[in-house]
Amino acid sequence: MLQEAMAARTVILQAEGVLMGRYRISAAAAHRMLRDISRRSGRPIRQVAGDASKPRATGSGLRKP
Amino acid sequence: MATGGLQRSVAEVIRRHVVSASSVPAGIGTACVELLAVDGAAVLLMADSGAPWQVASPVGRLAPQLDEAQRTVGEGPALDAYRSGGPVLVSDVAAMAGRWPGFTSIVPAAVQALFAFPLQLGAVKFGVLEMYRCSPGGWDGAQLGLALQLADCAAEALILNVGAAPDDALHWLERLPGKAPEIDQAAGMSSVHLGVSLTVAYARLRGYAFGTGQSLATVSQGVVAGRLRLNDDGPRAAGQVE
Repeated sequence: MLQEAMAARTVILQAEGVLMGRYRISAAAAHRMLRDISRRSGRPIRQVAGDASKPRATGSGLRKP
Repeated sequence: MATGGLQRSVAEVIRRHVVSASSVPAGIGTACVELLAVDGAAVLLMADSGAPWQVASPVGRLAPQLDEAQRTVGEGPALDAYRSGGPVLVSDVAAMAGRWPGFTSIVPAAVQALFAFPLQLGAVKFGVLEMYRCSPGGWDGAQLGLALQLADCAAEALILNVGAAPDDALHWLERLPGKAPEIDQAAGMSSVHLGVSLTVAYARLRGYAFGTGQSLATVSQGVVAGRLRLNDDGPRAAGQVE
């Protein structure tokens, strides 16, 4: 579980960084964005984060807030 | 049996220092200092993702610098122990320039002996227990045996205390002292700025840190705070007039 959690944490932080770079938003705002999409779509935040880190994540539902 | 008594004393010392889930890494480090007369110890949490590792609650004055040095250059005893799955014992750090040229050039000179042990349970590797001493010299068989038992107990204590559900473990990681979330965030940001993969972004951050004599964590904090931005034509301070 620790191994999985470490991988998840890395993916989530990387995605926050991608959103911060793409939309010029703060880390907190990026995290909120991931959490909101996770809640709305019912997908785990780790999965949403993985999509956000893909180059040009079109169709991921991630748009500028 | 002497071995049985030793085993019990290792477990007993760890139990005494590990009082809660969040005190596991620091408790293990303190147990190392107490049992093996080292000057410091740290639990490094690693994954196979290639992302730089998390240093959890290092014990000892030079432990943060030691771990930061390895994280910045991406080489050193901890990484070798993780990759090889076996202990890495260095009785004289200064003599290791051939094996780790980057690491030996930036590690604090006072760190003279290093001992790194993979943390694993069965086939699952999740980090390294690393100890340092400010005097050169190796260990005898009894000390090595003790260190191996400490690494086993440390792996078990981590797994038992962190929580069985993935969300529990994630929560534990997020609350851990000594974490550096900016490194992964800075890699994400730089991958957008440079139009490169995350792997390349980490390499660029490391290269910039090493080239400017800063730690990876410091450079990453600069990127996240908007003070620094890596560009194709080399880094520049944010807001600098072109």
